Formats: sequence, C-alpha cells, structure tokens
Amino acid sequence: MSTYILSHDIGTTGDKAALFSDEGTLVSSSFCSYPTYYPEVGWAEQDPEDYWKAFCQSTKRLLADTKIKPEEIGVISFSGQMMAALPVDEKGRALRNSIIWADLRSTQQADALAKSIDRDMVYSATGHRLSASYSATKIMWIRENERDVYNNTYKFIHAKDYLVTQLTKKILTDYSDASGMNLLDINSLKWSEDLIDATGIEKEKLPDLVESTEVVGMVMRDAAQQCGVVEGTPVVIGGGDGACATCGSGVVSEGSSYIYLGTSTWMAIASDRPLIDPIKRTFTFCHFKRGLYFPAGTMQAGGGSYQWFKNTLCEPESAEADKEGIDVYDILNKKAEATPAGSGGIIFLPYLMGERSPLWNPDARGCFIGLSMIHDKGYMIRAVLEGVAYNMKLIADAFAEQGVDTDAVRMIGGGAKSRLWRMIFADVMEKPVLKLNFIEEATSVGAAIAGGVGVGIFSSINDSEKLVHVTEETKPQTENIEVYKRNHRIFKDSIERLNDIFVMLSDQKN
Amino acid sequence: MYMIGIDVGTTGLKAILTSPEGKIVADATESYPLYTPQTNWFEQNPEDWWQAAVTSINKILDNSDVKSEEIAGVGLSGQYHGAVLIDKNSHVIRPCIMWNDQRTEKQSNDIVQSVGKEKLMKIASTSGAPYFTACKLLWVRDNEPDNYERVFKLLLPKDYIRLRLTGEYATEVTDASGTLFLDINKRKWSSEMARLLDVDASILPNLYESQEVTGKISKIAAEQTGLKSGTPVAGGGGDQACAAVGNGIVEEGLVSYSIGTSGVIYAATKHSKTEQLGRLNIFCHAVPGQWCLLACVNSAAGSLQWFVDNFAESEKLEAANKKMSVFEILEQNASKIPPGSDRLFFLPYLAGERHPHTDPYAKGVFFGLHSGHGKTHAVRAILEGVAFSFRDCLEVIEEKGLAIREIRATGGGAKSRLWLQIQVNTSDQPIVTMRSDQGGAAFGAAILASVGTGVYGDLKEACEQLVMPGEVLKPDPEMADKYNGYFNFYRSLYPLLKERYRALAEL
Repeated sequence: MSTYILSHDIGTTGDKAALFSDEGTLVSSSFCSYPTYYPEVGWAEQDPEDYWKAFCQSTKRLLADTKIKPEEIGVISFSGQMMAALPVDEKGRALRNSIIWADLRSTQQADALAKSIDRDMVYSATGHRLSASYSATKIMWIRENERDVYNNTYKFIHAKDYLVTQLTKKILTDYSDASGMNLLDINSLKWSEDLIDATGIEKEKLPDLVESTEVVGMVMRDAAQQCGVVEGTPVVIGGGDGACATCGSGVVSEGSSYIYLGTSTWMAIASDRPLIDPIKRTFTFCHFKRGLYFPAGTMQAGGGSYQWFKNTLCEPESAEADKEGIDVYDILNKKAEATPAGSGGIIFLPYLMGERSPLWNPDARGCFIGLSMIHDKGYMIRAVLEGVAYNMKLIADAFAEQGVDTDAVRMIGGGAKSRLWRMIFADVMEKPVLKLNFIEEATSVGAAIAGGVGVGIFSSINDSEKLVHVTEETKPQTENIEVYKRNHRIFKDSIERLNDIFVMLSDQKN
Repeated sequence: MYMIGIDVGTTGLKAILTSPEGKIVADATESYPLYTPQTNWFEQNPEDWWQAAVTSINKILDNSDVKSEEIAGVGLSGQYHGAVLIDKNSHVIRPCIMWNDQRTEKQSNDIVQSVGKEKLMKIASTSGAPYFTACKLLWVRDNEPDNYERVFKLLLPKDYIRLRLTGEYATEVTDASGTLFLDINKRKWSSEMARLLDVDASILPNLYESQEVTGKISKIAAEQTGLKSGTPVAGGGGDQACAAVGNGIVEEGLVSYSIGTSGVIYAATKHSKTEQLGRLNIFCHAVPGQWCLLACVNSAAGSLQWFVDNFAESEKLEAANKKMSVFEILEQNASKIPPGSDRLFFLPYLAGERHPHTDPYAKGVFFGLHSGHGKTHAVRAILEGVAFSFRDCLEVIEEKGLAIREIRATGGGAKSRLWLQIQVNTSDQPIVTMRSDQGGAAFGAAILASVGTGVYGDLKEACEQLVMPGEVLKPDPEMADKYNGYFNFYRSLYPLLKERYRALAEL
C-alpha cells in the first residue's frame, strides 16, 4: 500500500486540496471555492463553516478522482491565509465570521494603539509594522463592538487552525501563523507582554503554539465520516501560506530567497534572525525551521499590474489568444520582447493599488512617465514588467542593507512562466533567476513538506529538495545592466518626488 | 468680388476660392514631400510648393464657374520660420530648412551669446529659440559657406510663392516676427539686429502690413496658373495669424483655440507685451496696430491620435460596424467617465512641449493609475490633460492683462462636443464653435486680400461680414470649480518631473 500526503491550502477564494506521493510527486489536486462577504466598505469576512464544507467536498472529490483509498492517506497537513481574527469557543465552534486578512475595519483601533505604544517597539518585537491588517487590532475591534463575542471567545485562531480543530478538537496555532498577528514576540517566540498590555487582549484568549510540522492529533470519528478520510489519520497543523510558499520554494537555509509573482507578489529571504529595518520597509515571519525566519516585502500589484494592463488595453490580443487557443500573455510578451531593455525611457510605477513594500503608502498610484509618440503598446508592456522588477529590487536592496543577501532568486507564481519577465528580473536585480518545477503549487508543496516531516515520510525540512528543484536558470545579461541601473535610479527618484503628490491626489475631491 | 487664399502648409498646399459672402466656392489641396536628411532635420523643396500652387489654383478655377477676371485678389498664408534662400537670379540655393527642424541649437546659443537676452527681448520680443529663421540662416553660414555667399534674399515659405506669382521680394509683419530680424514693437526690420548678427540687411525683403498689396500677378505666372495678370496679391500672414483672422480674432479679448495635431492658443492685443520667461511668443498680428500672444502645445489631438494608434483596435472595429469615426466612439465612452477621470491625470508632452514649458525633453505621463481605471479613463484623462495644457497657456495670457471675453474653437478637436465642454469648464470661459471653419488659414489669407483690395475698409468690418460664429458653450460654475481643482493638481506635476525628463533623455 502506498502512502500519500493530503495537503489543503485554505486560500482567499477557496480551498485547494492536493495529494502528494511519498516521493514528493503531485498526484492530483481539487479546488472548491467559497465566498468572501463585504458587509461594509473595507470589511472582509468569511464563514468558517464554508471552510469546512469546502474541505470535505474537495477531499472527497480528490479521493474519488484519483481512486486512492482513504486508508492510503498517511497525513493531512495545512497551509492557510493569515492575519485573521477567528474567534472560537471551547468546543471549537466559530462565534462569528472570520475577519480575514483583507479587512481594514480596525484602523481606528490601530490609530488609538499607536498613541499608547511605540511603533518602533511593535516593529522590532513582532517583526511587523503596527497595522490594521493584522489580527491584534481586529480582535480589539471585536472586543469594542461585539462584547459578547469577545467574552465568549476561548481562542482567536486562523483559517487552517479552524479545520485542524474540526478534525482533532485541538485548538492551537503554529509559530508561522502566530507571527502574523502583531502580537508574537518573534525573538522570544512568546506572546509579547508589551503588546498584551497595550492592546488589553487577554493572553488566555490567544492559542497555544506548536511547530508547523507537529502532529497535533488524529482525525476524530465524526469528522472522518463527514470528509471521507479514515478515523485516526494523523493531522499536522502546517503553517501560514507565506511560510508554506517559502518552504515549498525550497527556501530553507540562510540567504536563499524567492519571489512569488502572481496576483499577490512578494519577495522573501531566509534569515537566521528577524530583520529590523530602520525604515520598516520589510517585515518578518517565523519559518517552519526553528531558528530561521523569512523577512519579506509585499507588493500590492506585481502580477496584478500586468493583469490590469492586459484587461484594460489588450482586448484584441485577448481575442486573438482565444481564437488561437494560446495564452494572451505569450502574445503580449512577444510584443514587449521586440522593444529594447529600458523601454525607450518609459518608467512605470506599479502602484495601482497603493503600495506596501517599500513605500507603505496606500495613496501611491500607478504612473507611466516618459511617454513619447514613438512608444507603442510593446514599449508600455515592457515598462510594466520592468516597473514591477524595479520595485522588487528596492525590496531586495532593503534585505541586503540589513545584511542578508542572496546569490540567486527563485521564482514562482504565474509570472514565473514568462521567460522575458524572468530575464528582466535577472537583469534588474543582477542575480540569476531560478524557475522551479512547481510554480503555482508552492503553498500546497510547503504544507505537504510539513506533513511529511511530521509523520516521518521526510526526514527534515531540508528534504524539500526532493519535491522542489530548479528547472531553468536565467542569468543576468551584462549588456542590459547599465541601462537598468540608470532606469532604476530614476524610478527611485520619481517615487521620492511623487510620494507627497500621491497624498495630495487622494485628498482631491471627486 | 471673389478672392483666393493660399496656405503653404507642412504636408501640402491648400488653395481656396471664396465668394463675396465668404463662402468657399472651390478648394484644392496638393501634397508634397517632407525630407529628413538626418534625424530631426526637416526640409522641403520650394519648387514643390510652387508646383502645388500652380496645380491647385488651376484646379479651383477649373472646378468653379468663376472667371479669372472676377477674382479681385490673392492672399498668402504659410508655415512660419522656414528659411528660403534665393540667389541673384531668383533661384533657390538649397532646400528650405523648416520650422520644425532641430539642427540649430548651437546657432541659437551663439545668438543669445552675441546679442544678449536683454537686447533680443527688446527687439524681437523673445529670449531666443532654435526655430527662429535667423538661426537657420546662421547654420548655413557655419556649415555651408558657399551657399551662404550666394544669398541675395531671405524669404519665408509663403513669400516664395509671392516671388513666383509677382516677381517681388516681399514679406509682411506676422511672418517677419518669426525671423528675429523684426523689431516687433516698431514693426520694422531691425538694422541693429542684422548688424549684431553680422548679416547684410539687404537680404531682408520689403516689409508690409499683412493686408497691404505687395505686387501683382505677372504675365508668366498668369500663364501658368490661369489667374489674370495684374491681379493684386496681399501680404497675407503666417498660418497662425491667418487662421486667427479667419476666426475673427481681430480685437483684444478674443482668443482662438485651435485643437489640431498640435494646439494653438492665439490672442489679439492692442499693446505689445513682453514675456521674459518664454512661456509664449509675442508676434505682430495681421491687424495693423495689433500684436498677438501665441502659444503652442505640441501634442493636442496628436495625443489622442497616439492613443488611438496603439490602443483602440476594438473601437476602430466598432466604429467601422456602426459607420462612425473611432473618435466618436471614444468620445461616447469617455462621456460616461466622471470629470477628473477618477483622479487619473495625463501630461500631454508626447513630443516635448513648447508652451508654457519650453522643454524638448518633456515626456508624456499617466499619473494616478489604480486598478479600477479602464481604457476609457485613459481617454478622458487625455482629453482633460490637453485641456489643462491649453489653460496653462491661457493663464499666461491673462497674466499679461488681457480681459478675455470669448474663446473661438477650431480644428479637428473642436468637433468633439465632450472635448469642447471639458475645455469650456477648464478655461471657465464661453467657447464659440465656428460655422465658417472650413478654410483655415487660407480663409484668413483671403480675408486679408479682401481688405487689401479695398472690398472692406478694415479687418474688423471684413470679419463681421465673412466670419460666422456658431454655437456658444457656457461654463457650468460647479464643473468649472471642480476642473479648477484638477487643473491646479495637474499643474503641480510638471515641476516635480522637469529634471527627471532631462535625465530620461540622457538614459
């Protein structure tokens, strides 16, 4: 009998279940979506019961599709969206919808908190800026606005933890997810007393912490019946999706790094210490491996910029792609490839949704600077690809300034499929870019590694190399480096000059 | 009486025949090549202009029942600044170095050095720029000394047609304003400027007011063109001055907006002004005793055309299906976007900019993009950005103390209702469309001929009879207030990027 690893990635749009063999091969996957609710502008919620339904459905479908027997599943492990406030009672029942990562209702709580606490302290203790994006202020919001819910809360947990609870009755979270709450002291790996004091959140309401690779329990009978797995199947808690993607990219030792280039876009690097950047451009999470961290910088619209350009200005190419049955991005890449490095002096600022790293300015906006009559669509496409790379270089520079540099950058996400874009990244960052065998499944792979390590299928996290390997290396081209260096200086200069203007623009009444 | 107006343009020559009521009875356009011997060098062959003139005059006479003896006069209009060099035998020495030619930066700097900004300002009302004719002449002196040696007369493009029609070497004050050799205040050639530039003043042709008769159709020209020998030829003017006359811009307070590939803002004034910062040109106007404030924006409808060329494939298809123009489709779509384009801004400097920022390095910018913006936001932002660039120029005109009471809009862009409304609310001035908007600069040249030949006492009277304003669009105070806010924001962007443009150019 074979042994399989069942990994679940509880994402924003749905749950992706994936089965891996004990050799690390992806056998099959199945996706089941659930809705996000936006009860008010800036609010974003999901019903944890939907997670459970999606979990059951996608698991059953996957087993049916692959004809793999439930008893062949050696472990269930998780990856999940982070930064939630999901209150459960002692029985693990959700007391309200989960307030998810995208929710910004607690800005008032964040502002109030900022008055009573030193922002620098928050950053150096938790690895993150004080922000309404994290769990802490969301929990404060619940306490202030839904007192009963708060009082009845046994623990505040995360999406994947909820499923672990349904399967095993254990109410816990892991270090990686805990490090996205603005509450964990990532140096001591304990809940920060300073933050507990300042937020007034009772420490008892925060979950106990376990390693991401830990087997936290076995599937209980009721749950087994509902989801179609065998009672007693071991459950490994896994980690937040960022940590899973990191591990699933094979970034498991100091100085190794990767870029996720998709709808969300970030760069992370493995480091043996949290990176405390004096101007807070980056933030730090706990890695699966104890003693290891992954400082990261996130862009609001990396892959999203290209998507926007395609949706907005490329209908004919989309129609052509449909007709020919090819990927529209292949057509666009070809147009961009026909233009010179540096896009004839067009600089694109990729701030279509404001920006997080390195600007942290929600009012930042996208710009095409330097247009002239000779520029056609190909030039503008190339400028978009380059603009995303320029911003990413600022993030990489922030790491390097804090003493963590990388020799080569791994790349995953849909954008990694574009050879041109990988070349642009290599030229701009002056480092080889490594394409991996899994480019869209890194979170599932990361969860599978945690699960495999947990039950001994893999001997350690470093075994990730069994699953993840480099398929193509793109080296920087010396002839392009100079033009990109100069363009990057202008890019940097432009954002410095325009930062105030972005704020003015947001003040403009419509 | 009938008149003929001729405009020597950059892509072709246009001739029109106008009726006593100012109607265009016949018109013909003949194109000719534009030569670019090197990047950013632009030349034309004056003989090509003449052949185009002969062909098009013959055509308009053939295509109408008007007899040549019914034609009372001819008026000439043409591109400014071009240097046409003529030898003693009335032959063209070398191709004309045109207004848009960019080889003369060195000569321009030399002139500023040798004359000094103050004196340039005092005489020519400018602090110097490479497009003035004197720079082109000095380029020939520096680089083609043999050609320079042979120069007997320096003419402007339309004046070459005059030479062929009448045998006279003559120009008039509006075109002469673009040479640097004219004393703008005195409306006379400046012997001092000629001396400072070490140019023999005798190469400058006879100088007239624009409406004055400068000569008569010669026998040989009559044979070639079909015109009657002895028909008077009026001075005419530079194309912008003639276009302004054609729109009745002959009194202070009237301004024209020409929304073509490039845009022109033209204001008449009774008093000569000075502009130290070079934010617009001050030239003699075609009306005796009047000057003009003249500002050019390099990419007006040209900006929209650029967008259409690159991003409007589907709208072109839709237009073809619906038998509409692609611009109508884009306008329809853009009219559904709120004013301010949801905070997207466009700086229309796709071909550098001339006024009010004289900056060849300036480049186009889309500023403020967010993921909610679609293609139509970009279209509306272009319409608004161009309107802001016009207002940028209008502000300088107002700063010179002109009380503007009406703007008259012409050119392809004036056909767009939406664009005009944006212009109206951006400038916060009524804008009038023109019913008599077919002849352009050639129409103004014909009007000048009608005054020169005595059909009308003066230009004001002629324009009252011949120029037909259309509909008046009035600003909406609430919208004007909104656009005022957007304009102020727009205006804050250029200074921030100014140095960056230069750096970009050096990449």
